[in-house]
Amino acid sequence: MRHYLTRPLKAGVCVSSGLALLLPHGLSSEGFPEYKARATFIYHLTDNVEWSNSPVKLCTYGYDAATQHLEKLSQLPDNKVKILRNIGLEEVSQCNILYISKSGSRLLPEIITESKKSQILTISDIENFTIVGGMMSFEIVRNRVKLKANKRTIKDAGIRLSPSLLNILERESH
Amino acid sequence: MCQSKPFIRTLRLAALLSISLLLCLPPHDAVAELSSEDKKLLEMNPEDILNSELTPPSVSKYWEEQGTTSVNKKGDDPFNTPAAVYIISSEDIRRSGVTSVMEALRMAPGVQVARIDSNKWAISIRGFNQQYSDKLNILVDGQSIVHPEISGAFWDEPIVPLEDIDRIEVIRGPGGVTWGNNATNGVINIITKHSKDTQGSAVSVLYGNEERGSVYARNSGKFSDNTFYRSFIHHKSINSSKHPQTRQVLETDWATSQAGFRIDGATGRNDDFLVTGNIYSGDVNGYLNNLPIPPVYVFQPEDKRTIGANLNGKISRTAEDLESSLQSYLRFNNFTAENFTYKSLTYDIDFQQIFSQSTRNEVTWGLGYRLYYDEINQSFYYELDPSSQVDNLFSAFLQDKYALIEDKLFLTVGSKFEYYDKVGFEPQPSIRLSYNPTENQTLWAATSRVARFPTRGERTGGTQIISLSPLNPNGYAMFAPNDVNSNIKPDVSIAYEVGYRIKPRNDLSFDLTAFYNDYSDIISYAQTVQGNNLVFTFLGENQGKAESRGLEFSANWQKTNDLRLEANYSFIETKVTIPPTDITLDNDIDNPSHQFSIRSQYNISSNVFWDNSLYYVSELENVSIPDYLRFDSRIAWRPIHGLELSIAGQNLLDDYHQEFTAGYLALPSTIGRSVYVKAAWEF
Repeated sequence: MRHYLTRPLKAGVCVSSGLALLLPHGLSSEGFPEYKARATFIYHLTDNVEWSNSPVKLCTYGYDAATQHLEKLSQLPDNKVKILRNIGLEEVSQCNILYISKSGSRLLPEIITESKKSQILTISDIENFTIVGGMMSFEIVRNRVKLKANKRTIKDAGIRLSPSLLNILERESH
Repeated sequence: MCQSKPFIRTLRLAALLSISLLLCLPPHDAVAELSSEDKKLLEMNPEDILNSELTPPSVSKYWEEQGTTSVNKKGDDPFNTPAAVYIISSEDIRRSGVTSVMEALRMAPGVQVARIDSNKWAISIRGFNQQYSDKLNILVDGQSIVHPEISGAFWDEPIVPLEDIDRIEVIRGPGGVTWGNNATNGVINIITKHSKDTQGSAVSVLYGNEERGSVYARNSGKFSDNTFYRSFIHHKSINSSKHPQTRQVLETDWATSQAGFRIDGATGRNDDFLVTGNIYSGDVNGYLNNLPIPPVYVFQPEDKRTIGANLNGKISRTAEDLESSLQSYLRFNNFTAENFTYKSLTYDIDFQQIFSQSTRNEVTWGLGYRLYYDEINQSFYYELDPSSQVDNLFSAFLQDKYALIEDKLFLTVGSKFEYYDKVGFEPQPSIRLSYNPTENQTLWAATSRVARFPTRGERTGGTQIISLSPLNPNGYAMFAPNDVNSNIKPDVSIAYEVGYRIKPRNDLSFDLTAFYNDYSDIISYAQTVQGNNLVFTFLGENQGKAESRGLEFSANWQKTNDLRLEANYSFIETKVTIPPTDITLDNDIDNPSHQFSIRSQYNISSNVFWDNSLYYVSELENVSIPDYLRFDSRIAWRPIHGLELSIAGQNLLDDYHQEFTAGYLALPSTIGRSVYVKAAWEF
């Protein structure tokens, strides 16, 4: 019977030791979670784009960690943003900013077509988003969020970006 | 009544107290609290945000990136779900090196997985493990694949190729409200990938010593901008296992072939549809016990050929605050052995609607119908009366999820109502409460009543008369059908659960659940000696009761972008009480009290991956199966984009070990060390 106890005990000790050795390094992680950086950047778009209405209507399509964080930010007392969560296609026209998560990619062509009927800033982390008609997209390069933009699409929609945001787009495109 | 012990009393008290306390909490400010990290980010300008270094991705990307559909049929965030949820992602499956759904389930805490021989598994959640575990609902894309004749799965039937699985959602504990009967102790929902996500082609080839070979090929494309398809073929062949004492090679080899398709499309602005179909066949070698007198069994080789097909269709409509879906499923299954032929046909139709009355109130309701037809040839070994039968099962469910405090405290109350024309009506209510004191913590408690309808065998079994007369030394068996047992009732469980989840840091999460289940009307069978005959009455009676209690723990750590560690532990204790002369399949002897596992996923470089798993399973003392450690390892290399070459080893610590004994259903067998090489190419 004794080995029934010693074998798992040995394994437990080995595993615990391994974890303990790894733990101190893990505690020193710095920086921000990618989804929070993405959501906060989108939130700041309210200040960096010229809008005709207030609060700015920020819509989310699909569901991911960034949409959850955006919902939290939208509850801040500054009342800058009104969030319309997980909207349907027929609601797209009500948005100022539309964030499309990867889980919402199935109807991407329809969403893009619908969004072009109004002055809506579209942003997503879907691959090749700016190539298929989206305006801004995120990707991760060297452990940082990189922004891609289709400036022509933004200009065609008549969306006016702040000089600082234009500078960012200029730098990020190089 | 079950004995009240301190643990059980404490757990019951904790569940009730949690619910009472949470209900009494004062209204909370609805404004979400921001962490210092959130505030720091908010104060930064957009450029600084883009220049900031990122922390490793979250411990369980599925907590954040995916919704679970298994608890409430709607894609809610699993971290906040008031149930014991564990998600096995497609990456977990690929990197662990497992070659079947059954083996993949070892990764989930609280799931008992024991391989009996090459083609048989005993799989259960929260105890009562047996070859045909009957307290579990198994679904593919939300559609149950459980066979009503055994209230379980035939694990030797192909399910879906691992390459096509998006995730496996494992819900420990009752899933009665949404998934109905058979979900007494848990739900396993296998979700396949959307065909848009598998565009292109893929081929994989596997060769090994235990896994004799496997070939998989897939082609995906699109019919239009909104309609995508996938088709696949899959063949696999597994070697025989060996006898634990004699080391004789047993005829338990196994080969299956499967072909299938999936079509996903959108027909209008808010309408989606899904169609899947599969055909399969399998040659499963094994043994039939033709003299089941414990403890001496007489087995003879018995080869089974199984064929089947299924077709599943679902249409969904999403409108403002209203989601509706209609799902329909047809399955044909046939298996033939020398002494046994069984055919079955299943048709299911389910309608479901989810609507929000306000931002705080969400109602889900649904209606369902199942038709089940089976036909068995009358044989010396097994006989059902009548030999063919049609069963009708009607169901309805209603559930309301209400935010008592917005974003903080949720109450979910509901019930499923089922009417089975052979047994009667069963309500299956549930109350669940979840509380999020902060965004990185969830505290939940639940109480549920769930029922499992008796199987056809339990309702219409027979009597086996085994002669003990010295004139008949072979102890010949005779089989006489009984009348239908109209008095048999479902076995019922009242389950109490409490759970706590926390993400103390973005890269670390813990999940702890405690449960106590109180079962009544457990089905048992009488055995008596009448003159020179031993008489087994295979006609169930609700004479038993049982209780089980346990703990389940899971820790998940994404140390860096290149290293992920996970540890799981589960403890369970069950006690079954039946009349002393009876036998039951719901026994308490085949459950390991302790299970522990640790897994690592390590990216050595951007194209080399090394993944390890260590599992400990404690002994099954009453059936003399010793405890065992199992170690699996896999190294994969991606020399060019789309191509992955890997070598994997399983059970590396032992030449072989035994995991289970199936008594009179299968010969004892061992699981040997397995090594295979695999090439997978996506293009």
